[in-house]
Amino acid sequence: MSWFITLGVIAGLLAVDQRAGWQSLLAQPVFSAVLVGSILGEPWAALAVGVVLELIYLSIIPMRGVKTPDHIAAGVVGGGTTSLLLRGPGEPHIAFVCAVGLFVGLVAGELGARLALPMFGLQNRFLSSVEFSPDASGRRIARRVFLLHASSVGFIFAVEGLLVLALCAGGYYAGERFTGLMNGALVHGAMGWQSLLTAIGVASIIHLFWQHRLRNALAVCAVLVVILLWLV
Amino acid sequence: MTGRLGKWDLFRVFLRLLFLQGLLNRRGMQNLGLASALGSVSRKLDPGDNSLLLRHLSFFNCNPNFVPLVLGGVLRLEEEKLEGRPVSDQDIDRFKKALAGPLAAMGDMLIMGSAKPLALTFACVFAIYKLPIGLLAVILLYNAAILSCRLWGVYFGYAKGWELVGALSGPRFQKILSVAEGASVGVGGVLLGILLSRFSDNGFAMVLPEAAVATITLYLLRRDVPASWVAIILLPTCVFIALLTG
Repeated sequence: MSWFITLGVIAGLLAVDQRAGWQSLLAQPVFSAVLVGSILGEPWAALAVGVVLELIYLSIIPMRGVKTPDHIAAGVVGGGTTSLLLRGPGEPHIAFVCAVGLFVGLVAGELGARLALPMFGLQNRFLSSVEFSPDASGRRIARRVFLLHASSVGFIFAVEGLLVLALCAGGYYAGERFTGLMNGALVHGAMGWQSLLTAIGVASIIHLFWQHRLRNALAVCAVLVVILLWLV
Repeated sequence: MTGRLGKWDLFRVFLRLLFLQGLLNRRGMQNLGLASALGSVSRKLDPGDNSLLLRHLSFFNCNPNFVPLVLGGVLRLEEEKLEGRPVSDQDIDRFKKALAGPLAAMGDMLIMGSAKPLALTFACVFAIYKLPIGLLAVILLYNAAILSCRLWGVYFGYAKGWELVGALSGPRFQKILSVAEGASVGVGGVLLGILLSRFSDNGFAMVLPEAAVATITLYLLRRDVPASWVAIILLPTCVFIALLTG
């Protein structure tokens, strides 16, 4: 339980950075999963999960009202579940556990976005309804706006923290069940899925630069790197 | 600093602006965040405790990384107004609105469209090759760039005032944008090449399914289906196929 609370606090802090702060990139799965994995003692497995999540999310640019999955929930729950499952008893099948963590992270990202939406919608509605009397003194307005600011940041921390705490507990429970079911076909299917995620990463990058006027340069760079890597 | 506001005052504005988005709302967008930042220096700019903050509660929306630039300019104009120069409330409002739109578009193109994808693509390359020092470098450099841009924005905007409009028009921004775009496309190409070269890592039998999944995903992405959904649906499909094939 204490680990879930720790993960909730980390997620809350990352949410403050992502939703209220200057978006330091720490909330992106490639960084948040490594952060969580380092705290839980499994940085490499968490890194493997984080980079695949990032590749999948690379095609989604949060601009002009685009609905995005909850990157924080995905990175923290994915990296956290993987690390916690690897810390469990016995000799875990690392690649299979990573696949389970990845799937749990992806589902947490989708669920997190849908569950957080009404909460942050409520906050938005409240902030939109704030009125100031034309007679109010400047100092009073300044004090009220400052209090609103502090409570708004606190609300973001609490919502995302509690959400990720719940998703981590659920994700870990589901992950444990899933790894308990481990058999030949399941492992084979999960491994196949993991290798196909590279293809989704490729599609994400092509999509990201599809409209770009320099997309021919992208293709040339990619071909050169493929040739170079084959030669090496 | 020659005006009423000292370096520390501007630094306090910068600190408040770091959490500008915390008060984002649908009606006034960043108006409350802007008022919160102005509130930290309102005693100096509004000694009579009049309507400074009330005037700045109207709709305001810009890229958060370029808001410090606008607010720096607004602080200078408010100061000039207080000193008795011919600056009206309408002039300040017009100045804010005139800068907010173009800077929002510039910020979206530069930060969200180029710098962020560039940093994340670099991070993915370093993560694939398990280079934590590279990840650390990416996060440090990105944050140094963003924070220094915001800090510079407050001081530059304050130093320029009206001249800010002239200082921002010109070909300089286009050059910066071209460099950032070129870099992000170059690194994107490198990452694409690395991923393509990994297609054959799981044996040549997997190349065809991987190419098929990439094509189908691209088709779905073009039709606004998120890649995360494709990945989620793919797992049960793979397990089902594995169960069928034994």
